[in-house]
Amino acid sequence: MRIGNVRILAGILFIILIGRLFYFQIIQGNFYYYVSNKNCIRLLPHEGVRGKILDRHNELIVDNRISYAISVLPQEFRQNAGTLSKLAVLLSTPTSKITKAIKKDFISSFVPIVVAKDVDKKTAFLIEENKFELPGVIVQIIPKRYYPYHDAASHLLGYVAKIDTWRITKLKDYGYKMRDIVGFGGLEEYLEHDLRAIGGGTQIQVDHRGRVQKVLGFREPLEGRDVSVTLDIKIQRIIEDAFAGRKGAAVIMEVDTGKIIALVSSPGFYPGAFTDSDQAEYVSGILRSPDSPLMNRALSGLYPVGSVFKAIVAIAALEKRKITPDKRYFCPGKLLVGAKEFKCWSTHGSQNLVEALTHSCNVYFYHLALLLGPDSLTEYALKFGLSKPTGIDLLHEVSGYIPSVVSRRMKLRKWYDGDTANFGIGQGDVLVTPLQAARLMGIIASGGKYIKPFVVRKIADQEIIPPEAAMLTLDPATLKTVIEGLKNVVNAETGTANIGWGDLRVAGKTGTAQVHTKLSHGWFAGFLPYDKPRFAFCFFLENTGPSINCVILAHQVFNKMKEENLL
Amino acid sequence: MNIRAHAIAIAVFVIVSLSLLMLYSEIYPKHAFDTSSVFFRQLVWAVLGWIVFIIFSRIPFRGLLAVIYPFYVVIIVLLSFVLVAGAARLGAQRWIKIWWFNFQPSEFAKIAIILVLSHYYSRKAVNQIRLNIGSLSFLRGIVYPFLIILVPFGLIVKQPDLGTALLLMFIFLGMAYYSGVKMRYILLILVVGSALSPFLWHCLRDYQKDRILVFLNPNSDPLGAGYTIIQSKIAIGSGRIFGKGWLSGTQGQLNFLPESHTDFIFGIFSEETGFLGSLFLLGLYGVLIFESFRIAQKANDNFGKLFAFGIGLMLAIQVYINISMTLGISPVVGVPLPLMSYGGSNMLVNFLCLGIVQNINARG
Repeated sequence: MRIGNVRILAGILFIILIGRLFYFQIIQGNFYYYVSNKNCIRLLPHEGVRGKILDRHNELIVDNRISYAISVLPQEFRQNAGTLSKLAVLLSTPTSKITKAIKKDFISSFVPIVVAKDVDKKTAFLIEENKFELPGVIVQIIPKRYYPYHDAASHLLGYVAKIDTWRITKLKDYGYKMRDIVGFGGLEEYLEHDLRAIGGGTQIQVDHRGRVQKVLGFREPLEGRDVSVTLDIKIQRIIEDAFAGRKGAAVIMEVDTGKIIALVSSPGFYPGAFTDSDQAEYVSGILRSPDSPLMNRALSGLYPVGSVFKAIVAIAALEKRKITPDKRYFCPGKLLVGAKEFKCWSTHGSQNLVEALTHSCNVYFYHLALLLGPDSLTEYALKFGLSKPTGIDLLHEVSGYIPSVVSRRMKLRKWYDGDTANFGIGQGDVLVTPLQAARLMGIIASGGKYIKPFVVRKIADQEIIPPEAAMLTLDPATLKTVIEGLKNVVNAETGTANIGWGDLRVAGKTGTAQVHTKLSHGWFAGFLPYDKPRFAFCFFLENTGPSINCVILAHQVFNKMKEENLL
Repeated sequence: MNIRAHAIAIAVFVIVSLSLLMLYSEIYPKHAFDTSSVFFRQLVWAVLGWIVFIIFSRIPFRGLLAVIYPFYVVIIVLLSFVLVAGAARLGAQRWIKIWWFNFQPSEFAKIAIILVLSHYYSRKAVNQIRLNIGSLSFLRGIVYPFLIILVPFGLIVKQPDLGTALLLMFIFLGMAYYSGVKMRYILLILVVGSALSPFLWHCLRDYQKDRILVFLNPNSDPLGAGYTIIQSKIAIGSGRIFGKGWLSGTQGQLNFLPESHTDFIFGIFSEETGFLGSLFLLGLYGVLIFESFRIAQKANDNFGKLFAFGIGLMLAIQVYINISMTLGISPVVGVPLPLMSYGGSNMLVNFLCLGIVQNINARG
């Protein structure tokens, strides 16, 4: 009978287990009993070095520095009463602080516990020299993240900190342990698997006086892989300085490739604070701040885009052959749509398309929107990559929102002509991220190249080559007209962004988005130089009033870039 | 009272009590006696488990036939859900959080697959006393049933939960063997499996490769899995004949032995109760396993026969893999010790399975 065979097999397996137990517990029992009683196995960890991050010119933006930590082996440390007071004197801390640290981080008797971090070199050497008088005390060399540019690019880089419970449950299988340092946000989190260093260590058997008797095992620590990014840290810093703490975001990307040259979100934070216990107050301040400095506004912030959207409406109207560039509308300062009056911000008189873009005339675009209808507006917004993530290689990118008749119907609400008019000037529900706005300008500047922005260009020695971007089918004449308009926004005498740009050759579109009860958001998105576009950009200021503030900000940045020969 | 009729219930009760004693011993030095501790949680699961056991030992087991496939589909959906939810971020996730309970679908997949296979192999000969020995072709005996379990199996491999996947494979082959599928077909599968192993090796995640390499040479990783094996050997060995006594183990209590409340619970059990205690525990598992086989043999109903056999097999494999892993004779693959290891899903599933086996015993 087959079940008989299975029984025999099961019986054999039981006998194997019993035999093995007999061997361990009876034959080798006394040896293991001795080993367990003496607690004579000890672990000495050797930390690995986390991967560095370099910018486009191989400038180090995240580095590692050596720091000294003083650890104790609980078992031995407790057996020698005098050690505690001696150590406290050397470290010049109260004994209570040391005992508290031991209690808090205790894992097991022979796993060292860090009682003092970032000890200066002199103290570390002093303790090392006196190690025979301090049984159970170890000086550990621990690499620590070092940020040469302090808080620059903090959102893009992310920070490292002690692993949290949410992450440990997910990463346990990959060998992460409770006190490991892992990446939070930005590249540190996105590329955790590459940057991560795997700690090694030695397991030794010691005698009752703590002297090494036998090395039971050794594992070399593995260093993390270095990551090179497309960022230009100099440009990044120029922009961050120009923001001067105001809330907002800015993106500069290469038009041809999608390489991100600068990605700013303001206010920023100092990433090094998260591993520094002395800065706990600063960290809790960041976590609690109503300005949410940890959020990367450039790709996680959603804002009404305002008049920047007019560029898309102009393209849609030309592509759909609803108008020719010469089509004129008269702007008396307002337009009656249905029963409601829709205002323009000025009285522009008769305008053609290029003029309407230059002056950001609302009435002209109300007319275009009504001519096109909401479906075409939605279609072109989606075509230019709005309402979906750009696919940048960073975490937490949001998709944005573009209204449509269909989604309105799903909410059982009607679409009115007034909604179409509002849609045409980017008000209402049109929500985009600053990154999407910059990419939109990149598409226009490159003649319809659907660029995917990216940040990581190299991991260790592996170059990352992004796939060739697809081309949108757009009539070159359309783009020529719209670019002409964008150029005039900045350079024509009456342009909304003309504040004297000299020979910077910038083209762009301003936008001011009304915000209920607060100051409006300001936008300035475009590209430069307009005759041979190299960079697409977007500057955004949150609740700081009209777009002119943003234009001044961009002006400041580009002038500084020019001064430093970075354009 | 007929001891034989209650053998399974008695063994289950004693094993679960031992488990609780061990978990108490685990929290004892930490003074973590609050209700969120592993001890209290396990206590709740043990009580719920008993209720499940009693319910399933009373309701006619053939009634299960109606719900096998819906249950199977639900398990597949949950397994996919875990995969999708886990894939959104780095790292794997094996459970779904429902209140404070981390529900682990892969545990329930074991019973779903045993139910489905029992149904499949018993279907052909429902009205006959004997199974259709020898009449199953390669297609019907191996390929079709394999296709049936392929989806949950694949999802579990993808998680990646190597231990459970291997366990399911063994259960499948065992049940095919018991159903009378020709020996040469089964051998063929085993040969193909070993031939594919270099390829499968390539598919493993780094940490899984590490575990197997460490098994071959524990000293190669003194901080990770190798460390656990060394510590577990010390724990077990130091228990000698009589053990160090309850609450007196040092390896487990001083936290030398990681995972001492889940996969490595046998380590602290053996340390505190010694060789005699370990023999006693193995004896209890022996009762569960050989009773299941006996019930399978004497059952008249083919579905019941196969199911009882499948459960016996599942327990035998789990007990063997888990204990041999703590003894350093098989790789650390993360298989819990049935009814001993801490974990609600595993506990419930084992109670559920044994409840049905008890039922089969009572109804023949």
